[in-house]
Amino acid sequence: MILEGRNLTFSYGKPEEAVFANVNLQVESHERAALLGPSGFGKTTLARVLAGYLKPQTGEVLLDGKPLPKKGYCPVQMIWQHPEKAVNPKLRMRETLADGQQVEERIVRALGIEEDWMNRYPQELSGGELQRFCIARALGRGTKFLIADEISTMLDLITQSQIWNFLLEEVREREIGLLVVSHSEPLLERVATRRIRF
Amino acid sequence: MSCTGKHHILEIDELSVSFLQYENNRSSRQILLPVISKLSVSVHEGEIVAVVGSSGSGKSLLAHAILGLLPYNAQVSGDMYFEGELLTETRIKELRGNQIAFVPQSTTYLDPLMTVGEQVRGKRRDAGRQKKQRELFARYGLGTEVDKKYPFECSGGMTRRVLLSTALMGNPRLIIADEPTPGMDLALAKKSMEDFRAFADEGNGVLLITHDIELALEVADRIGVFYAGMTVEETPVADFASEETLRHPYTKVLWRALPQNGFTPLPGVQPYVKDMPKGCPFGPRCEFYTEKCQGEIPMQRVGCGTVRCVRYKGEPLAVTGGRA
Amino acid sequence: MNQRQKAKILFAFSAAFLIAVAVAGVFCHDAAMVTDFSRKNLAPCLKYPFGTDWLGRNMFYRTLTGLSMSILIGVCAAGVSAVMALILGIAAATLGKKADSVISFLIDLVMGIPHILLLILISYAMGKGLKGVIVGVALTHWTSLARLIRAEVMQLKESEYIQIAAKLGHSKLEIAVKHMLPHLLPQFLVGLVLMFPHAILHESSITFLGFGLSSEQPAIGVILSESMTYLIMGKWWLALFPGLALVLTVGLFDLGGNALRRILDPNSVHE
Repeated sequence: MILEGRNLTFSYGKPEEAVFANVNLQVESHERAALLGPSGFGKTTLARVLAGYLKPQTGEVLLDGKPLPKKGYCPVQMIWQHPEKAVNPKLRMRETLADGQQVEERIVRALGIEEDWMNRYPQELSGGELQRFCIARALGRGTKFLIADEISTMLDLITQSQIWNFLLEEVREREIGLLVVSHSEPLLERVATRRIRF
Repeated sequence: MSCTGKHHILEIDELSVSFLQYENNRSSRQILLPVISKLSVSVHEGEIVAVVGSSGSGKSLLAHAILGLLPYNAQVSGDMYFEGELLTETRIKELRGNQIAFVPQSTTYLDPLMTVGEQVRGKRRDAGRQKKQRELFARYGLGTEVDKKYPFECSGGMTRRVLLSTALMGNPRLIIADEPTPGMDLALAKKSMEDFRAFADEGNGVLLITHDIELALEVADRIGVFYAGMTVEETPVADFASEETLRHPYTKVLWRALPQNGFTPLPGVQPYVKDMPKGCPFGPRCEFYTEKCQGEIPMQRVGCGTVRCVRYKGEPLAVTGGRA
Repeated sequence: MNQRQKAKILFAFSAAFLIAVAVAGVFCHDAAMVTDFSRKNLAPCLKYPFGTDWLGRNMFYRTLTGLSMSILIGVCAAGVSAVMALILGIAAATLGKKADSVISFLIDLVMGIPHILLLILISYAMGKGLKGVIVGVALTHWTSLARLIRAEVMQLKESEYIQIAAKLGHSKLEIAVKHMLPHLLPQFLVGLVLMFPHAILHESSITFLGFGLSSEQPAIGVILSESMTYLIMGKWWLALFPGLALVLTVGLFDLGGNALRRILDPNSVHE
């Protein structure tokens, strides 16, 4: 499968102050692409456009030539930088995980999620523990592409290597295309197969 | 007390911070949550010292504890010394903003309805402060037009310099910087750290609190490694050159987990504050775990660093109250 | 004892007292109607703690029945009003710009007219009586809670976890029920309880003015307006005790509501 951004322009306010303009990119299922650009280029914004969270002013996001579905499970899933904002503080982790699409027990176990955490509220877990839930939630059956936006920036190194070692294995096995945003050169050295520069 | 033998600007000895909280959303039972337990770190003249820990490990509270900004339900124990003098609540109030300055994480610390020039000058509007503010802005390449700008009109880099100027208005000896470079790539972060380096080189101290170990390795002189609310090791940056020169088993694991050093994960997670193990918090994940690890573990001096681990027989640390 | 325990006790106390009054009033309804000219115009004494009126009716029973009626009408009207607020608030925030403009206009409209005037108008148009009062109170009290809920939902809609849930294929309804309701429930409950005293006061006011319940009902408003005639004749107890009881009831609802807010409010969570 191919995830393609065609002629994308996005601005939050006035059109002449675009975060980025006329961006083209392609990622294939077998790839792990890193998104690189100068500070202020709006890598996070581009990631959100590609995952369908934001609508670009011009251009379109295509998956195998077709636009992303407006309703239902989106085959392009994104994992966010701050896990504590990405989970509902009023729900137990079991319910948050149930938001995902039939997430396999195998994934939950491989991420080191303990049964005891399931009954806790997000406030009772650390950032690293929460991020594991967010990753599991994004890896439902229908996920074909995964966008990882600085997912380990706020975590400690050991959690970072646990999470990435799992993710690399998982996307290879299921042929999920990966798009990585990270400012850490050594990390990209490890995880990315190709670089997309702007 | 350190290999440098320099004058201590800041010395923190076994600082603990706990929060009195309700057990959960509905319960009316209150429990004491120990967020920081036994944090020891010191800053010498001319040094940048980084305290490195993951997000949510309570390291931001360290800055708030030093500045006396903790919320009402916090309980603090342990001693802090500034220039050899015990920091009491009243002393902190005198020092902060003058001798001790704080550079916060983000732009949200600026008043959005006030021009940045005014904010840096502060309440008093005499010519001296005006001149000082202009000097500082000029030094960081901020032109006169910046004085009249509002925070939302400044770019990220400008805001960072404004925050730093605010900190330097009172001739501080010590700057405490809490995650000053979020969202910047390493090159930009390093550039922003040059300002801190210049400040330290004038004989002052910087305490850098960050989750970013790669940044810390680039800019700091010494690193305090923070695990589950405790400093387990304090070591010169040079010791991070190889695994052998590091002391604590956790630091070694951390080193191996760096993407450039093998990216090897260790199973398990940092314990949550409610179910902290007895003694060494790293114990249950440690390959050298013994019964001795469950007891009280003192900080000891080994070589040029300090470590909190029973596998070392070093000199015990004597708190001198600041003087080396 | 910490703040939360205090708040819980306060809440339990007010709730217990108000429920007791409401239930007791229902049982005294018949006793309150009994007229006996052999005991008319008695000042308060041990046997008749609130005294008796010119028809020899026991004022204690009448007051209790009146309060009970006010509480039941208040609960009923405030309940309807709060549900309206919840539905309109969520609708304004989720159904797009047009729905939002219409509902916001409605809120401004209702808020713009003096409360009591609108109440009288609606109650009169509905033919006064029980129905008129309940509909009147219900239609005038939902605005501020609706506005609160609308703002809360708008904020929730922007939160990352709600956006993520949508991308995970959940419908708007599923998201509203699973993700939004737990956030809205505390607001809703506190808003509901704090609406009771308003509803009760307004019910009494329009009944007092003659646009509410009919005069044969032992309602607090009726008692107070009738007692006006006898007040100049020195029958002070006819107005004082029912009046005080009304103030106490309203005060207790307010106390209970604020205690509930302290229990549920995350901002005061660690006090």
